[in-house]
Amino acid sequence: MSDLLEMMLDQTDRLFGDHVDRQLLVEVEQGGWPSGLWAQVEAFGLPDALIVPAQDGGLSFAEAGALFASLGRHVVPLPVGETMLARMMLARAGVEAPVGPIALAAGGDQAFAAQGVGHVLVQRDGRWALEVQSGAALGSIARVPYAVAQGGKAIATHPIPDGLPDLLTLGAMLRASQMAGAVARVLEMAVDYANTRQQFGRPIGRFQAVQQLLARLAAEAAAGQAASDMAWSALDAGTLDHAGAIAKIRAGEAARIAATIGHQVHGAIGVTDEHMLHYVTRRLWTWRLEYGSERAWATRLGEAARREGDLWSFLTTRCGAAALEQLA
Amino acid sequence: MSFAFPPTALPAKAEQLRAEVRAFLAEWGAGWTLLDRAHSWTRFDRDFSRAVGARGWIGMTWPTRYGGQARSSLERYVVLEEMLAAGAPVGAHWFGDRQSGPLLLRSGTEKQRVALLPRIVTGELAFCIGLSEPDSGSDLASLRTRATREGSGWRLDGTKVWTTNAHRSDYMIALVRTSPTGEGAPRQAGLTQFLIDLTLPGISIKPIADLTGEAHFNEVHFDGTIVDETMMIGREGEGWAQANAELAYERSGPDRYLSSFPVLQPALDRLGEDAERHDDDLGRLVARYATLRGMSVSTAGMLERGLEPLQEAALIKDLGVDLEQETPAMLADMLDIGPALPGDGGLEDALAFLTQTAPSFSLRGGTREIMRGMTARGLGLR
Ligand SMILES: Cc1cc2nc3c(=O)[nH]c(=O)nc-3n(C[C@H](O)[C@H](O)[C@H](O)COP(=O)(O)OP(=O)(O)OC[C@H]3O[C@@H](n4cnc5c(N)ncnc54)[C@H](O)[C@@H]3O)c2cc1C
Repeated sequence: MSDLLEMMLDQTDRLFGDHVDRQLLVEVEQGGWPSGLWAQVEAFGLPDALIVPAQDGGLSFAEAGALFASLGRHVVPLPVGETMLARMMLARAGVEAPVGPIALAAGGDQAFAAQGVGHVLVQRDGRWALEVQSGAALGSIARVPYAVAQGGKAIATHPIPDGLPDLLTLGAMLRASQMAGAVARVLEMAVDYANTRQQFGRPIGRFQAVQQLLARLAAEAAAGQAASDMAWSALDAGTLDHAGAIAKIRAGEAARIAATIGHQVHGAIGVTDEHMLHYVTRRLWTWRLEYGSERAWATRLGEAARREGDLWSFLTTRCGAAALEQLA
Repeated sequence: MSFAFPPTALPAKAEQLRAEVRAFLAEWGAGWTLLDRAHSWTRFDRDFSRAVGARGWIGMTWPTRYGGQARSSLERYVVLEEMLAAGAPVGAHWFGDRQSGPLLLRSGTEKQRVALLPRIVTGELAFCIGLSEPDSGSDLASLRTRATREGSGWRLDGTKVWTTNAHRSDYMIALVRTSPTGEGAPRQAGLTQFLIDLTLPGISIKPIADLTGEAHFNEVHFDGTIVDETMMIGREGEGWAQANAELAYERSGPDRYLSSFPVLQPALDRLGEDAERHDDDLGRLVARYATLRGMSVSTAGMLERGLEPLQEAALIKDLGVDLEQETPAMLADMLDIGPALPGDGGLEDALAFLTQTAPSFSLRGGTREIMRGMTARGLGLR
């Protein structure tokens, strides 16, 4: 990673860390729109980061993956990643992007639909369509509104270009990275808590049963992160193939286990409204369901692997890592 | 606090190498039954190892002056994973290539290196690892096999156990106690590694049958065995640190998630049309295998950059053994095979073998609980 990039990621990580606290999340969950934070996101140039060249702060997909993980770590309640990916799609088709955030709809056409999100990019067969966000808002475990894209008149539509996956896959990869970041946050919170909460006269983290749980959580965190990182790197190399599916499945599995262990270690305090933990775990549970469940992706991945007829060749050439081999 | 496994590129050269290894294995593997393949690195075949050596695929990262090829850890990785995926009988050279050779390179004397490394490279020498003892398993530092000075050598007394392949190996690298415990010094301080020629007098090696009915590991008694002082590896009292560095090599390799892999495709083939009903399970398995492979390649990259990924190795082993342990049960379920074993070395026999071997996966090389303890330490919990 270049120094410049590291600095930028540091700064955005700090921005999110400073601004996204429980209070802001509560506001958003009550229907508010954090326009101040969105303005800062724009000031950092994030919406166009997948479009502009590297010397102007542009990001590769792999670098964007690190940013997406940071969005997840801080459970940023804004469609930053979605907007980056949507604007990248629009730019590749030479379509001017609307002002403000854009949601991504694919897989049941459901999309994040907070108040301030005026547009949605929808997958329509092999094409994307840019529409005005107009569906009736529904609740979610994350307590942010989701709406079903209504299929109103498209402002613009275009085939998904060669070399890019469809919106469902991009959305899945985005959520995989966010889940990996949020799992890392759960790990951090659980380790901190284990080091401070005392029972039987010692920090609960001294108990081996708790240590074993946290070690398992750490392993899941590492696996979810590795799978997501591999997918974005493979996309950069132009041979994503099934790496996006793998990322969503593996990060989703990690999310499920992390939420369970995170809550177990925190005891009762972790399930109280007052505590920060559930602002992370409720998003993990929501993100697992978006852009295709693990089972939905696994069924497709399994089918592809079965049809290949040689599992080892499938693993070594169709799962993303092979793309990396060509990089070297 | 989290452990990072950055995506790591295998060099382009590796693909060509992969093709060579596959061709080699296709030729050698023509006669291997699936049961043979399920044995993988517990199968010991000196002819095969010599053939692998002749291709330059043992000790391939070692300096050329010791017979190595000075190739990268990533190229070596490709050879290893191809061997394991095919279930090749790599047992005769596996420990030498993976642990003993690298240990000698790091800590051995020049004389030891010159004498032994070139013969490991040719597939001529087999090594075994003498750590565990009857009363010292996870708590390895409690070990009691003693080495006491005698003339210009050391006299060994004690017992090693579970020593894989001791009955077929040429040398053991043993961790033994050179100064007694209880003098205020930590137990670890009194441990030293020795290179032991297993043909020396005063050594008895007794194979121990395991639950499959086969015997891969042994009990090894030392009864006044005299080893020359030139057989000490590294310095007196530094055996603990050396043995731990060695274990990082052991734990991070693809051998920690591929043990059950050779039966996967044959099981799918057997399912035929029915396999379609299991796409979901298969997809989940593939996602886990692919992720572990990426993490494992990443660890090879860390070794290549001169890092010592001890924590990462423990973490991969924890995830990897879960997967290789779950695989046989899952496949047997999918296939809905009955208990009868045809005895033809085919799929049923291979799955039965793996079902019985699977419990060992999370024991050998350090137990699951010990791996998680290492991760907990890395998290700052102890
Ligand atoms: C197939 C096979 C091959 C092997 N090959 C070799 C070899 O070549 N060379 C060699 O030296 N050894 C070898 N071993 C031995 C292996 O390293 C040991 O089995 C392992 O270190 C565990 O020791 P143990 O079996 O004595 O179990 P124990 O240490 O007695 O452990 C029993 C149980 O208690 C748990 N436990 C122990 N201590 C703790 C603790 N502090 N916290 C939590 N849980 C704990 C363990 O996790 C385990 O579940 C082999 C073992 C097997 C199964």
